[in-house]
Amino acid sequence: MRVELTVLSKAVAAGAVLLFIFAYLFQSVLVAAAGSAVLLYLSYRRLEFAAQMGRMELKAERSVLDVVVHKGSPMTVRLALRALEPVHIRIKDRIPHHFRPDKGSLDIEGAVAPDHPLSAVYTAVPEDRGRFRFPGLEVSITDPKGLFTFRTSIDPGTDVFVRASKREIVMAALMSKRKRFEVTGPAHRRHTRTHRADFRTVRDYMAGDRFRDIDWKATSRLTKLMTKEFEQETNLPTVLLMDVTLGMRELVGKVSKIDHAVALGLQLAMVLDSFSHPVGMVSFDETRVLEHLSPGKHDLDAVLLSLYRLPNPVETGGYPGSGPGPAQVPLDQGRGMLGTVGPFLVKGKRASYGRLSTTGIFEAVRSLELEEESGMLVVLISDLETNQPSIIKAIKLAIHKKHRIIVISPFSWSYHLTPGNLTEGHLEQAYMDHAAKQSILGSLKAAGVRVMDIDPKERGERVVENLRRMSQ
Amino acid sequence: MIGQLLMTLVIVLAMLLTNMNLLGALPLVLVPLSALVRSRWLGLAGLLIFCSVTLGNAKGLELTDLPRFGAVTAALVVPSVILLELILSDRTARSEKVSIWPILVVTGVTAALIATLFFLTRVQGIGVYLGSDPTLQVFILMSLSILYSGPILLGTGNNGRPGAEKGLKSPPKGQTINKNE
Repeated sequence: MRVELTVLSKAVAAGAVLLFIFAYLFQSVLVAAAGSAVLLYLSYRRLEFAAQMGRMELKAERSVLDVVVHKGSPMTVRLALRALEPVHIRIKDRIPHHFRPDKGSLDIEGAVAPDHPLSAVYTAVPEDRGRFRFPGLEVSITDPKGLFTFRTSIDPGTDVFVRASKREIVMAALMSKRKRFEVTGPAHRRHTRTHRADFRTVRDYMAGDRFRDIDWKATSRLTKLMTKEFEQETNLPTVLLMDVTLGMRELVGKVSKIDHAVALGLQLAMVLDSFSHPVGMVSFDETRVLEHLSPGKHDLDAVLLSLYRLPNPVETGGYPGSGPGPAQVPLDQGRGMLGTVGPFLVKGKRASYGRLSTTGIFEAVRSLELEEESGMLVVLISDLETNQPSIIKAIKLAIHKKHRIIVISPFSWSYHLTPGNLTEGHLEQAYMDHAAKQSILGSLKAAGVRVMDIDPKERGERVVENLRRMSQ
Repeated sequence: MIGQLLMTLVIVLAMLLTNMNLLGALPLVLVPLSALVRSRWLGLAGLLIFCSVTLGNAKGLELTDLPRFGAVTAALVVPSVILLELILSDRTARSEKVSIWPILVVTGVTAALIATLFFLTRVQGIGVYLGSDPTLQVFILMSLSILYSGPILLGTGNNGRPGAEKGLKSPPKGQTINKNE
């Protein structure tokens, strides 16, 4: 318990000292007695205040009044304090790091009585999505006489779950209505075979439409290509592989690759779901799988919530670019071979892999092998900068299981470089990283993977269009 | 009402002690004035000036004559302290409860202080000096009061009182939102 003296109590103590000085100068014992009495009085007040703190039973309740909170939209927070003793309280509320105060003050001051709780309402705007916990309240309680102050911190334990911004969700919903995503071509699983249902409508031709679906009569009448559309044609289970390694999450300025990846994932999931393709998601970091949602077993809401829950961007000290990941352990030839064939040999015995020799991407693909069927569409959103040696291995493993792989890869430097901060060193490093990236993309293309290299301005519309072409 | 009665008592006692000198009681006017303008500092200053002037003019008191010293202190200093309490009190905070424990501790400390004084005046070497030198008396009184009240005022703990922090120990958890997620 830390009780501090206020200005008033210091003034009273100074008064006692003055009395002592006066008594000393004028040789008056009674004045010294008065000084002693004042000091004893202060002692009494100090003890009484400590006792009052013991009886007080201060209770703080902080609740977020909005049921659903979105990034960038203000949310209302209500703070209420109750105490069994009449005290004067000053509270300084603190909001999480990624929030900014909007309306109302975070500093609340007033008297609390047993029948008169102190309450206040303010709004704050979350600037990031994910789960957040409010820090504790800084409480400063003043003695009714204004002589002492007691400072403490109370943690009402308020959690808040922030979803993606309303704009992103509306854009994704709009896109799911406007964009098309049918799957044709040779399929490796029974369910992906195209089956024609009832005729629905005729619409404008879009790149990637099948030749046989073109409505020639309408085309000749309107002098532009028209496509016939049918009810639910196929359903291809799709898994979004979300890379949440530090490279993806690093934040410079206000841009991060993970936020872009989440926005794209949101739009892809909604577009796919609107065409009855089951959507799943696997998120992974440097060493392990964070979450695995199987397509078909989990609905769209679960996937979207899981996307919102992905780790937030973090501010890092270093500059972007490929670097040695924490789990990048040089493997000798024999162990490399074992790492590749391991999943086929041990089938589920994860313990055979040491913590240091596993990588997140490989674990994610392995978890697909163990829990999912073959012949799915796998969309990997990753900057391909962490655990590079195992990326190729993991993707080859997925190709072996007859998955169609599409890699959507943002390039770090285009997110972080601005015309104002270009230096020779940066350009050199960016060129080296670009060459390394192209090399790995070339390897992937050679392995039969479709690759989409995106920049920060890449919009979901174009990504979905490309994905539609590539997935055929 | 209590404040006015106390003021009257203090003024009468002050006049008796200072040979009917009304000028000494004049600063006490600041106390009711402070209640009118709601300024605690004004009341505090008035009381301090009054105490300094009146108690400074009251002669003939010595620590060696403890019974007279105690009687005058009880008659003049204690009402002044209560007056100080009234000046500092907020109007809204008068309903506060009073704990037994602080009263017991302060009574104990006061008793210990007086017992020490009583003991000191009877020690052969010190008693002689105490009787002859008022400055030494002031010094001893000041030292003892700082010695006894200092640990209480500047201490960080709850001064031995069991369970004093109970009221702040485990506040209940607040609500968690987004139950529909």
